[in-house]
Amino acid sequence: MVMHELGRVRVLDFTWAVAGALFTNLLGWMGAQVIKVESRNHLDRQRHQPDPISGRPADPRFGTHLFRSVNANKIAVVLEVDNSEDYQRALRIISVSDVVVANMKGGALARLGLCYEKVRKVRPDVIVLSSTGFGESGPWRDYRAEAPTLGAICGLGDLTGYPEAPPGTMLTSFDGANAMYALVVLLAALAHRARTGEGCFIDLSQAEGGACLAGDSFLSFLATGTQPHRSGNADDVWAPHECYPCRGDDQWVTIVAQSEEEWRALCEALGRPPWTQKACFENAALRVAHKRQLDAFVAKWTRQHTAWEITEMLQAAGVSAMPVFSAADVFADEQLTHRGVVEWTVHPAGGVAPVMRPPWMFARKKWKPATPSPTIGEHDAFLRHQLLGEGD
Amino acid sequence: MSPLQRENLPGESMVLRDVTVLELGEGVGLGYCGRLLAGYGADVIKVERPGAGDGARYVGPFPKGVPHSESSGLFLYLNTNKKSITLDVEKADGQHLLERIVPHIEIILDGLPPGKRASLGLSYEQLKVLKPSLIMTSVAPFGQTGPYKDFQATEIVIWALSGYHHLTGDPDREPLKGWGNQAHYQAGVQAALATVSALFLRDVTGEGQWIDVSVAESLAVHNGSSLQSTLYGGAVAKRRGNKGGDNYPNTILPASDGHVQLHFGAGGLRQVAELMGEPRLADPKWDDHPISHADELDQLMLPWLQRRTKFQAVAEAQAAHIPFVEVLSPAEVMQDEQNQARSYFLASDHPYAGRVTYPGSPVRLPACPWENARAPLLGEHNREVYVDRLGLSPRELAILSAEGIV
Repeated sequence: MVMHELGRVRVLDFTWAVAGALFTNLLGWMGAQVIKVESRNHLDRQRHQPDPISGRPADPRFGTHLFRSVNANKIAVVLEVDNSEDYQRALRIISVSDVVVANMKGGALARLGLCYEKVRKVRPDVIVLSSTGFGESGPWRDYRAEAPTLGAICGLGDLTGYPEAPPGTMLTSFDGANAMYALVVLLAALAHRARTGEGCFIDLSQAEGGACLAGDSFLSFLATGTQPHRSGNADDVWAPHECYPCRGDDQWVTIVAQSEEEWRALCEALGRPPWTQKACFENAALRVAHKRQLDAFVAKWTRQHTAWEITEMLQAAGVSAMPVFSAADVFADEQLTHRGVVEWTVHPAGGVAPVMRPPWMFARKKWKPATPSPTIGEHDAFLRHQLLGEGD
Repeated sequence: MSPLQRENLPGESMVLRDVTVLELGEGVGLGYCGRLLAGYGADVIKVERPGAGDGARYVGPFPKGVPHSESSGLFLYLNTNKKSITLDVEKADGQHLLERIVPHIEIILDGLPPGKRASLGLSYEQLKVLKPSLIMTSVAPFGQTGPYKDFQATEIVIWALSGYHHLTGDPDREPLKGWGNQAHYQAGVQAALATVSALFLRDVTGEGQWIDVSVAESLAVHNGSSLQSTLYGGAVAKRRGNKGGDNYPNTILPASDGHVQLHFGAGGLRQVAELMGEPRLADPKWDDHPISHADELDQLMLPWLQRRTKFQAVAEAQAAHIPFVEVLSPAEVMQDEQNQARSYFLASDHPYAGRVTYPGSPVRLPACPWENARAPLLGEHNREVYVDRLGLSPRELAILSAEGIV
C-alpha cells in the first residue's frame, strides 16, 4: 500500500471559486480525504460560470474546465447549513474531522455558526483555517476581494506596467500563492497538534499574501526613501534585460545579460558586430543608461530569427534567453511534458480532463493518480450512511 | 536530542521548533523557502561562502544607496530568523565538516546547480548515507531533470516560459513582466510547502525524500484558466492590457488622485449602475459579452470616478458590496489602515542597517506567532554552531578559519 503525507487527515471543505478549491485540491493530492460542502442555492461559482471556450455557462454538474482541474481529488456533498438539520450534520462531520477550511469573506464563518469557538466544542483539537481577502480583523475585514484586486492592493499593480503608462493589472496567480501559504501553515499546525494535542485557528489574509510577493519593494522604499517605479521589462542594474520581437506574428524572446561575462558571451554569439564595441555599451551601468539605443540594436538582430533559434544560440553561449510562450506553447513544451506537469483523468462529463499536478516532485514517491472532480452531491450517500451512520 | 538541535525555551510554541535546516546555496526562491520555515520556528542555518558571503548581500537596496555587505535589503528580507555560518563546500576539508553536520539536521535546502552538486559529491544519495531520514529540497530554475535543466535563467526568462509574460501587457506592444521576483517567491512558498509535507511523509514511512522544485513550473501551473482553455483545444488567449475575463468591469481606471482597480461583484453591471447613479450602465445591450463594450462602459464610469478620490470611490463601492480597491504604491501599502490594524509589517533593529521594516506572515496563528529576529551577520553563528553544538574546540575553529574553510 502506498502511504501518503496526509493519509489520515479528514478535511471539511467550505471553500469555493478558484483560490479555495486549489488549496483543498493540494490537500487531496497529499492523500487527505477532502469533503467539499456545497449549497444548492449557492453552488461553487466555477460550476456555472461561462466557460472561456464556449462562452456559455458550464453544466453545473461538471463545472468549467478550470473547476474540473482544481476540484480533482475531492468528494462532494450537499449541506444547507442554514437549515438546522443540516447544520447539526455539519457539526457531526466536524466531530470526526481534523480540519475545517473556508474562503468566504471576513466574518462569514461566524454567521454560519462555524467559527472556531463554536466548532471546537464538538472537536476540541480541530484546526480551522479561514482564508479571506483582508483577514478576519481590521477595518477592511468585510471588504470583498477578487484575484485582480489583490494585485492592486498589495503594491504590485502600481509597480507593473510600461514606464510611461498607467499601472497594470497583475495576472500572476495570487490564488496559487495563497493556497500554498495556507497549506504551509496548515501542515505546521497539524504538526503542532501532533505534538501538543492542541488545535488552532488560522487567519490568512490574501492581500497580505500578495504583499509578501512584493517584499523587496517595501525595503527599497524604506532604504532609499524613493518608490520603485514601473519599468516594463527593464532591470535597474543589468542590460540587456528585455523582451525582443522575433520573426513571426507576436513572437518574442527574452534576453538577459546578468554579468559582464554574459554580455561578452552575447557579443560573441552575435558575431561581435561594430555596435557591440561602442563606448556607450562598455559596462552595465552605461548599457542601462543607453537602454533604448541598445534595445534597438538587439531587436534589429532578433527580428531576423525565430525565438527558438535565438534561445538555442544564446543558451549554448551561457546567456539567459527563452521564447515568450503562449498558453499553447507552455503545454507543447518538452520540458514541462517531460516532467509530467499535466495529468489526464477520465471525467464523468465524457472525455478526459487535464489536471495540474502540484509543482514539485518527490524523487522516490509518485503522485497518486488524480480522481476526477465530483458532481453536485455525488457523495451524499457515502456521507449519510458511512460517515454519519444514518439509515435510509 | 542531537547536538545541533537547540534547547526549547519554556512556553515556546513555534510550530516547526524541532526542525533543524541547513540552507546551502543561493537564490531568491531558496532563501524565501528558508525564511518561511524559520519564521514558523525551524532552526535554519544558512551556509555562506567564507569572505564574500551570499550573493544577495550585494544586490541592495542599500540604506541611502550606500552598498555594504551587511545592509542589502534583499538579504535582510530573505534571511530574517536565520543563523549564518561560513563554510567552503568546494574544498575537501569543507566537505568533511559538512559531513559532520549533516547527521544532526533534518532538512537541507539546496540551491546548487544540478551539475555542480554531483561534481561536489553532494548528491542526495551520498548525503543520505550520513542521515537516512534526510529531506533535501532542491530549487532550480527548470528543476533537476529534462532538456532545459542546465539552461541559464533569471526571473524574466521564467516569466517567458510560464505563459504569463505573453498574457501581460497591451495587445500592440511587447509582453510585460510582472514587477520584481514573483516567480522566485512563488517557488519559495512551494518549496516550503513540499518540505513540510515531506516531514509528514517521513513520520508515516520513516523515509526521507529528495524534493525537486522547478521555479518555471511554480509559475506555469498557476496559469489556470488560459492553460485549461488551451488544453481543451480552445483559442489561445491574447494580451488585453488591463482588461481581463468576459465580464466587466475588470480593469484599472483613474480617479481624481490615482487609480482604482475595478471589478464586478455578484450583481454585475446593474450593481455598478446603481452605485454610480448611471442607469445607462444597466442597459441589457451590454449583457452579451460585456468585455467587448469595454471602451463605451469606461466612458460611462469615468465621470463618477473622477469626482472622487480613489479612497472615496473604493469606500463607496465596498459599502455596496462591489470589490473595487485602490491601486496602492508600496509606501501606501505600508501606511494602509488595514495593514496597520493587523500589524502586518514588523520591524527589527539591525546593527548596520538600523531599524528595518518588512512584511510579516500573511497567516496568523494566534497560538504560534511568527518570529521576528533580524537577518544574521556573515558567520555570526560560527562559534555557536561549530563549537557549542558540534563540539569543535575554539582552536580548531580558528585553524579552519585561517585556512579559509570557515
